[in-house]
Amino acid sequence: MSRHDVFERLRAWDEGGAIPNGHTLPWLRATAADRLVLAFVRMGGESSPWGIAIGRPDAPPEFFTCAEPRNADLHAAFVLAAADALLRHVEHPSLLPDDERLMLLAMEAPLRARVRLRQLWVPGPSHLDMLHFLDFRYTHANTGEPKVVRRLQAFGRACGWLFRESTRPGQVRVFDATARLRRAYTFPAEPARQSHLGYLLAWLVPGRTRDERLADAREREGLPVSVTMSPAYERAVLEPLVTRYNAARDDAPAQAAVAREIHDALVPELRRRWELTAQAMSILDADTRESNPHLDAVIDLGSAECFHEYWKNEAKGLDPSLSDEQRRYLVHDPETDYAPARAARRYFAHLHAAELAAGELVHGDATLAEQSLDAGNGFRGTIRAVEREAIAGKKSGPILWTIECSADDSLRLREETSVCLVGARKRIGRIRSLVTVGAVRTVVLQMTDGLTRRALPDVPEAADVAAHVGTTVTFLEQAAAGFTQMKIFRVGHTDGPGAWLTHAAPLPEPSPPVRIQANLLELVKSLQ
Amino acid sequence: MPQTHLAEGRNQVLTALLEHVERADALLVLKAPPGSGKTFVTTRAVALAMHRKRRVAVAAQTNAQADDFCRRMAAEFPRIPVHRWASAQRGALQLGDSVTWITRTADLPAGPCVVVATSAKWAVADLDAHDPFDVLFIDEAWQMCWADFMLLGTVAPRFVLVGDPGQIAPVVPIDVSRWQTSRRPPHVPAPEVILRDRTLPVRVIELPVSTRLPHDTCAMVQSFYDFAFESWSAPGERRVLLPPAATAHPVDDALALLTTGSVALMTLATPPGGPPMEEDVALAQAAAEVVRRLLDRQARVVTEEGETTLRPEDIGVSATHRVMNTRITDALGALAPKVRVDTPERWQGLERKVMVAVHPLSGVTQPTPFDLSTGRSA
Repeated sequence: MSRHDVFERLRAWDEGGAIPNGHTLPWLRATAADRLVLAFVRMGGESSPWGIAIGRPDAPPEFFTCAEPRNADLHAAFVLAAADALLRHVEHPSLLPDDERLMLLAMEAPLRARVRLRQLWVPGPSHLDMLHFLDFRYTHANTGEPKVVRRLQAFGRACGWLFRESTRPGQVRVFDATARLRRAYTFPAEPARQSHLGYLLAWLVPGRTRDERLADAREREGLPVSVTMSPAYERAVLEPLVTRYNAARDDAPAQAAVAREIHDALVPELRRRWELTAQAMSILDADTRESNPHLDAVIDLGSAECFHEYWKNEAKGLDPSLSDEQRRYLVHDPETDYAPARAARRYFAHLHAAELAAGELVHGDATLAEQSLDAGNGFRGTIRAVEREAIAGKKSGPILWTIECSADDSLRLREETSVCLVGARKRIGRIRSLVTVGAVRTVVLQMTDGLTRRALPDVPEAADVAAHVGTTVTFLEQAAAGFTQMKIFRVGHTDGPGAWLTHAAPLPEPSPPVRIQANLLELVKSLQ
Repeated sequence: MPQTHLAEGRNQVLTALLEHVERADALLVLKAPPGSGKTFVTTRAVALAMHRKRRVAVAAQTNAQADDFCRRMAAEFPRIPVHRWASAQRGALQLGDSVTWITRTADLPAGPCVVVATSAKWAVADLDAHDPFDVLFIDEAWQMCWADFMLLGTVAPRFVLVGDPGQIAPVVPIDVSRWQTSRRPPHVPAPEVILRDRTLPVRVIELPVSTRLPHDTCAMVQSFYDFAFESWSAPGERRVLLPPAATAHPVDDALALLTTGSVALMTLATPPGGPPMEEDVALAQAAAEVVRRLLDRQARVVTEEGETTLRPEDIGVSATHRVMNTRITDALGALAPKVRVDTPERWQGLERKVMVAVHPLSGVTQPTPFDLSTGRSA
């Protein structure tokens, strides 16, 4: 925890409830049509869902359950029933007419616009894990009618992509409601308690005292919100029903009746999880804070990821001329990025996403900027000198800014680090030197970008002495997002001379045998 | 007397490396403990490759390392021309008479040459218009993750990776659980990925002697390595001599330990209000006080080369957080420009006669999360 976090948590305790964290929210509000709320429950000890609640936030959810989740056929039928809503949400190409699908595949932009603000909300991290389990179970489904198998596989792949997307830094597509509440507010509670969605929501109820909220929160945390239900409830209510269901295997009407009872017993559990998620979403929507104004690049990256990492391959996979082997290469392995080049590409993509989110959002939220400053990722000070460095043989050398800061402030940056000016982020400088004498830290910056009015029309030129000397400025570390993005593309080059090692290309021809000179040490010495 | 009998082992490793270069084999990994002469052997291998009319590329992990490599080449092989390929935004440095500073891809030389650049520079360079290099030497290879290494496949068909397997792995600021089961995990140091793959035609050699670490320090760090190495210095050969102090000082007891061995531990009690969070001003002042006291008492250092007076430039300070290092620099006051203060990963490959390491442990031998959060010692 940083000092800021400690201070804010104590302040929240003092105020008796959750307090806003930051001046903005790092995501956009979407319409109900762009949102889907999803919640799971599972049988104790099983990795697949027992029930699914799914639906848009402006309508009651649909509930799907499976009387006996250990029966693979029953489970597949239950998942198949729930699959449509999720596949519609991700605009699965199999649900589109052929001409529209081909147009979207060719043009990219319309599909990206369509999915730009699509959001999937789940109650918490265990529900995200369930997406991964479904990916494992159904992406490689291979038994049953071909049409059913294809739909199950598509569902598995959609779950897999959403799970993977949920791990991409800064993403605004898959929302863990508990984590988003923690991001938006500071709660007066220890971290372990803040993992419970109901507990958090109790701290957000308006018009109550701290003691009332605390009592409510403690009561709510007694009800499970993860995919696992209360063992007592499973033992007392569900286990006898499942036993009866299995015992009635030769009596279809009786079995159907017990299945309905199991459904009725699971629905309240599903409903509570779904409604808590919808409630968290409503509270965040009603928050008076604006969304971060620098979200565009983050959202654009998300829609590009959707197209290139999911939709494009799904659409290509529908081409009837493809063989099973060709189609196999379009499917992502549920376990990992199997091919090394793909793993490296995704690694750089995640690094790029992290750099982009951090680098963009900090300029749209004063609190983030202050937190970054507090963490030592920048400095604030007064410009004492603006001058051009004299270089022999050159008309004009680089512009140097000398800035004096307090030596009491934290600083992680060191020489050679690039920093950008808060308020005019295209103005970039590189730290030439850092010298502390007494209580004053002097930073000399070599200004490298955004120097002229042409680059930054609204601020004085970097070389304007009169405009800058004496003013207070804040610089934060400049994220190198563009550089990492370049690596994403370059790591796919498989035709270099060393590709035999880096990209598993065929081994090169061995070098012809050479006669090794008797004393190489002496030879090298003679070269000195 | 230094353990001169160990020189034979080092020469054998150097010969093996030179033979590898001579045969133009595909892949070699050289494991080297701290101060074992990585740069010494690499410069010789580069010189031999150039002598054999090869196009040689050298990748360092930082600009400072690349500059240092060029300086070493210029000093030890002044007749071999070296090109330092750097960003246009960096001002040209004078690295030696035989070193040419270039910033444009078009300025890369044709024919036999030695070109030194950072891995990042090689990674994004478009070399299509140039003849491929024959061999790529990668310095401090354990500081480079596999994903970054993959980008160097466009540079050359043969690779020599040189590094210290005990060094800190590359810092990865994102969650990497997705790639834990990958065949070639992108976040893992490149040499480790190569050595895990039994199908690759890789030769591994190990430098057996550390000239940097004293005898007892070698023994202390040995457990972090999967191969044995020894110290060039004999037991007790390196020590600090302290003239008698006119007045007593709280750090004198700790400094006295340096007169008989190479490691002294000084602890600082956790204050009543609990440990500071990231910046510990009292600890920073204690570290600075150790430096100041060594200099005030005019300490002398004994090594295999003889006895010398300790200067501020001979002392380094290391703490794990940059903000803490800033505090230590502040506490050093006028000494700050001469006493280098940096994080452990930036100290890798550098050496000083005396190092003050600010450590977050409280001296426990089996640290738990509790110890890590509450203890502090210098």
